[in-house]
Amino acid sequence: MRKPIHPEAVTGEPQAIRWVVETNDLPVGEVLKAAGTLGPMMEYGVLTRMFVERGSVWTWLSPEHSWADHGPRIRDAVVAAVDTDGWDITDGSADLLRLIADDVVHGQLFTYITSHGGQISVVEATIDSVVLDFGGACADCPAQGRTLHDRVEVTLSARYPRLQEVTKVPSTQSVTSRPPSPLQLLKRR
Amino acid sequence: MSCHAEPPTRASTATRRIALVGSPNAGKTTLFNSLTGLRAKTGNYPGVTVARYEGAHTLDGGSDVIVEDLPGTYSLDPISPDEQVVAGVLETGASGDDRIDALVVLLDAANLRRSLGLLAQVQQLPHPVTAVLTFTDELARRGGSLDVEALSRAVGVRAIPVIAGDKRGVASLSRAMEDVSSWKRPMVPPPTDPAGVADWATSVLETASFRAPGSDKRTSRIDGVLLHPLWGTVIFFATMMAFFQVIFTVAAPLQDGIETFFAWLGGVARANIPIPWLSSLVADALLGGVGGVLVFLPQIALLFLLISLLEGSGYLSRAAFLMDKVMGWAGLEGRAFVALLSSMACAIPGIMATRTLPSAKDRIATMMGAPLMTCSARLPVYVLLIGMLVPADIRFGPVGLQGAIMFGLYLLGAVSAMMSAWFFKRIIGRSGVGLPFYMEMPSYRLPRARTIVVSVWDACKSFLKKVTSIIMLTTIILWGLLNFPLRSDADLANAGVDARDEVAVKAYVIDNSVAAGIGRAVSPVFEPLGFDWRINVGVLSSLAAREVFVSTLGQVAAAEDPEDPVAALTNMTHTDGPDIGEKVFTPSTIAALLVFFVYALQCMSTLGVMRRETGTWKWPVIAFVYMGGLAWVMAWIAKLAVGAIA
Repeated sequence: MRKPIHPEAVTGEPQAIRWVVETNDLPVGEVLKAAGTLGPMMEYGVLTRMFVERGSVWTWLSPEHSWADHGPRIRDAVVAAVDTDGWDITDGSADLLRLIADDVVHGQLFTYITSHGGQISVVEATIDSVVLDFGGACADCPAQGRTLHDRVEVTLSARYPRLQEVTKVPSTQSVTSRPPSPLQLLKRR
Repeated sequence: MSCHAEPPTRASTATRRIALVGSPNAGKTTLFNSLTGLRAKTGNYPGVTVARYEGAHTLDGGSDVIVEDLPGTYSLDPISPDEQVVAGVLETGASGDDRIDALVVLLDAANLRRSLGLLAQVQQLPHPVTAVLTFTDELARRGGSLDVEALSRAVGVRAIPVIAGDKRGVASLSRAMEDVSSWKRPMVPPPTDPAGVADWATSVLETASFRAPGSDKRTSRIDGVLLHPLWGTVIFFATMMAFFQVIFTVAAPLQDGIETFFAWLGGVARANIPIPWLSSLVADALLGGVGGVLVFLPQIALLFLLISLLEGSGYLSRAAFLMDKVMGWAGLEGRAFVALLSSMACAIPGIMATRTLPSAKDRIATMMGAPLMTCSARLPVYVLLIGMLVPADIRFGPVGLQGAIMFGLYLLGAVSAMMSAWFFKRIIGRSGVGLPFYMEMPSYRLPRARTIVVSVWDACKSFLKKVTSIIMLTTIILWGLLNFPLRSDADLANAGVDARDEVAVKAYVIDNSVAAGIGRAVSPVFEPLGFDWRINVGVLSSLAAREVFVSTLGQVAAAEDPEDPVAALTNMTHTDGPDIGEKVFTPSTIAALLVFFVYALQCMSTLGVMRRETGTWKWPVIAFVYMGGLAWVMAWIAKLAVGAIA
């Protein structure tokens, strides 16, 4: 039973690990019942929460345990379980989409986004849509506003196929929109 | 055999000891030398004839750490005496009597899979670990690529790229060495069995989008030339030269078409609007002034078409890679470079991109340089003035002089921006924070038509928005200033102007308008540069937006000669002052104007954003004043220089 796999930390979730591993055709959503030896680990509360996305398995370890002790065992269990039947996974999950969106804008595409002068943050997620705040320059930059939006959307739906739409909140800071009236600038102070 | 080169008291002091671990040829010795300078000491490890190198590295705070360069090793399963030494040191956590506090593992980016095997072994040890990624330049040159941030997240420790001991990389490593206890640790260490390590490495490499050198034959062949320090640079400059040639040659016919259209429309307006002031407002201000700026729509579209072609094909990343080295010599961060690059379209996204700089000092230094990059608002001014300065038919082989001058102005802007950022960094003080910088190096591909169309369309839309809002508003205000106070027939008679000669009346009204008064009031400042009051008004009005300079001159010219505004502009003469009767637009004055626009910060939006990003009016004021001063001095020099030749 061999499969490429490695763990990644989840920002702001000290007990969580996202295992990057081929998930075959498992549904994408919250895990209600896990297959293989992961099943008992969930039942007995060693793992408190699980999600499956395309290409990763998210696991939360109960706070009384440490990843240093249980990590290798859970890694082997994940590798074995993704090839096993017996999963019960919801069809989509707003929480999971939010986690993935945060990972995409603050991790996976972070360098790309900042190199375009942008600062994207996730405002909210439903089961099939995400609202992003395209702060920074992207909103008004004539050269790259659309490309950035497209790239985020493509990256997200590759990991969460149920995604229907990515929308952005309208830019509220009028100063960023070019060109501001000079009169308005004078009024500001 | 006594092997310790340092006094035995060293072991008891609190000086931290950090060991470098890496395979032979991973660039370990180069890194060691850049960290320790020439203060390395050589000795032997106890009991074996394996050379031991260590040296002190001084941190920013002034304290020292001892850096020990362990012998090169491919794995911790020892085969050679060298490897035995490394394995022994790591097993006991001490080198001789000296405890090791932290490990720096060198990963050779060109042989990453093998290097990860070593990292996996080192991560089993209790020591804090940081990875240094070497040879990322070679990886790129040989057509490979790697996402350093993703690699760092996947292996669970920080990865710092250091290319051949370069300043930036070493500085960020040095910074990290100050606090080894805070080094990021993997939540779960990699597997220990060879098959497990191989799977782990496969997974990590895939996540880091690792493309091995030479895996894309075509890309690597092209990159062999394009990223070559000499040929790459030559090709880069040739590409940029061609770029500006195209802006002049291809857009010119379209521009003429729009120009003719607006001249015709102006004629129609004059003939059909019975109210004189309204006819003047529509024909001179709206069609002559605003239309005069709209003429440059083809150039704007072409500029963004070319930029998105370069970006979409993957060439822009290569150009950035070449230029990043230049920035490195100036001691500027790669991220600062990205901010400057963004400023090519507009300084505002450029200034916002400085948010990625971790140090406030670096941010301000970069912000002080960014507005000097040639933004698209300068384009209409440059095209207009260059067209008046040199005829289109002066060519040297395939290179037209107009395009060459435009290229020179862009280059002058870029070089000045970098020098200014460097200068401000010097006076504000060094931050010492040098974060690793990573730039995506995509494979060459055909640009996607949709992306290009969208980008050009967005650019045109925002140009049109600007033309119809701030430029139109300012132009109308200027029309007012240029046409008031109104003159009665009695005034005209007193001044000896024939009230039936419309052109003469117009010339008299404008020449005695409020705007003329303002332009004359500031003329002592600009007179040494050869500017007359009309240019002064143009320069002052361009504070709202640079393009207004064009619309102001267009307005004046359309009023003076509705039939042929371009000729009116070229033949405009000084109406007062010592040069009365002489042409205004002499080559030396045009050169001075061009250089003035390279440096002057005539953009309220930029000042506003600077104020918001720094939280104080201090920096916008400093930027405005220093750029204004620089603009005046450089324009004066340009005037003298061109005056001497012409």
